[in-house]
Amino acid sequence: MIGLGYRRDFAGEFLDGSVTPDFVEFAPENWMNIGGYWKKEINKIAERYPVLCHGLSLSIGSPDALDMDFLKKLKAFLNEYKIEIYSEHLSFAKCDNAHLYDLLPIPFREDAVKHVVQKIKQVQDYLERPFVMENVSYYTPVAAEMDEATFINAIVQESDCRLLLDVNNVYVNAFNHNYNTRSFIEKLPLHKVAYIHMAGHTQVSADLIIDTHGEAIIDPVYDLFEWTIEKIKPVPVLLERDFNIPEMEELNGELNRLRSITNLKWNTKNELVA
Amino acid sequence: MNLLPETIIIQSKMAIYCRTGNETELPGVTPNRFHHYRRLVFNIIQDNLESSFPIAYKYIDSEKWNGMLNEFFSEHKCRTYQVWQIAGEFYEYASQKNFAKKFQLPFLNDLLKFEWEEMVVYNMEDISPKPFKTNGDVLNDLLILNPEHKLLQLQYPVHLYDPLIAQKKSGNYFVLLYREKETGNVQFMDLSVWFALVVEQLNKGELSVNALLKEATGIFGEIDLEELSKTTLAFTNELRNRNFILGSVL
Repeated sequence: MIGLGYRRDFAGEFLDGSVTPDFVEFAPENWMNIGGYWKKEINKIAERYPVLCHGLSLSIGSPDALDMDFLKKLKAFLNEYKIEIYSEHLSFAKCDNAHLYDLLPIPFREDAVKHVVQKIKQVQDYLERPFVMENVSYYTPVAAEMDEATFINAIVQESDCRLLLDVNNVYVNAFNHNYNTRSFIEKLPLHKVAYIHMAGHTQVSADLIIDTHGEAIIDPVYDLFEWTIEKIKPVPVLLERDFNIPEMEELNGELNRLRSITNLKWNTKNELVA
Repeated sequence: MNLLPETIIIQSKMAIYCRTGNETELPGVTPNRFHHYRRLVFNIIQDNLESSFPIAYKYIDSEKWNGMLNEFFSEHKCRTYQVWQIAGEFYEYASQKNFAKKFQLPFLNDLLKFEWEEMVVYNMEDISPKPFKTNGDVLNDLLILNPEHKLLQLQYPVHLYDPLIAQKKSGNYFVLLYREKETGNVQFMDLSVWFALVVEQLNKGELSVNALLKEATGIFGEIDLEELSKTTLAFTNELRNRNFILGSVL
């Protein structure tokens, strides 16, 4: 199944048939505890499409403790919309009790592994559903004691969470930090992959790509996706497009291209469960 | 807590740099890269507050606007995990720190309040009204109002004029903001002090319109009760036509 992230900028197109994903992904923070027009809209979406949730504010890598009030409201939202897969970013977005609203890289360190593992277990226990962690893009390591693949492996293995493999992020990181995409993916716990993200990015200088979700997916990322999915069981695949929204024809083209690749490589269909 | 103090300090330094833009020493970073995080984080704050306060952004010169945003994000620890609610924390901070005086913008508190509260009403969770009948007596019954509303008191009429004109008209202004059930759109009505009182009291559900009129002389002293009754009836009818008065208590 090929999904698309739900965004206000083209929300109407999800309901009028202009864009045709197989499922939709909500960022729960954008829709929790609201009413009025948008509550009605997301209810219509949830009636029409299967929905997954991909969070922004949990800040699993933060030194701060988990925000239990947030988790309580999140759980209510996940229950209300019967969300089977909830994923988040392996990063931090809050520190010293101040939200930052973007994804900062966790230092790849042994103590950070232990810290994140403990918090993931807390989240899994509280939410009573599988929890899926995404490999994030980053523009510089900070105080690293190990490489990114080792860091991700340790966290996934020790916490028993699932992995959201963002193929574009692998491409971005490999470019920014000068490593080989395929070697990196081969080091990941691929049997734990429960979900895939695909997106475009923006190159801002000769040696730096920013993960903007504001452009079409480029061919090398499609190639990496095709190579990757041969190595994993069928899982949901999501197209992320947050800015610079193109004509729906273009988005449908991207969805169809992803569909063609998965149809070619996966004989069995995936289900929306982690 | 499994994190070592050293890691906590590093993460805190990263976060403080993103909030303030003040240079900091971070171990093991690639040169000329970390500033992108400050840029990306601060862009989110700028974009969010520009779109949350379109009138304020339009009428406040960019130097002052950026000064306000920088101080807010550097000094204030944003508590909300919902991006749309940053605007509420900005309004709260600007009021507490008296940005209106500091940046010589007398209308600022009222304008931020008006734009923020409009957003609150637009996004507020659905509230079911108490049971009501639609065939009651609008003057003598206790009435049920659309619960999705807010009544604001302002010093400057920023809801009626652009802020540069509004700041010359200091006074007592009242605004009713309410969300239409069908469309979800927020409407506003400029109210006199009496009509604001009527809405406030009707919402309490203890007095009918006629009972309120009987109280009016006690509140205002000598008044033309006949004229007040006439205008109050017209106001009540308008609230019914707007579906703000939903009906009478069952």
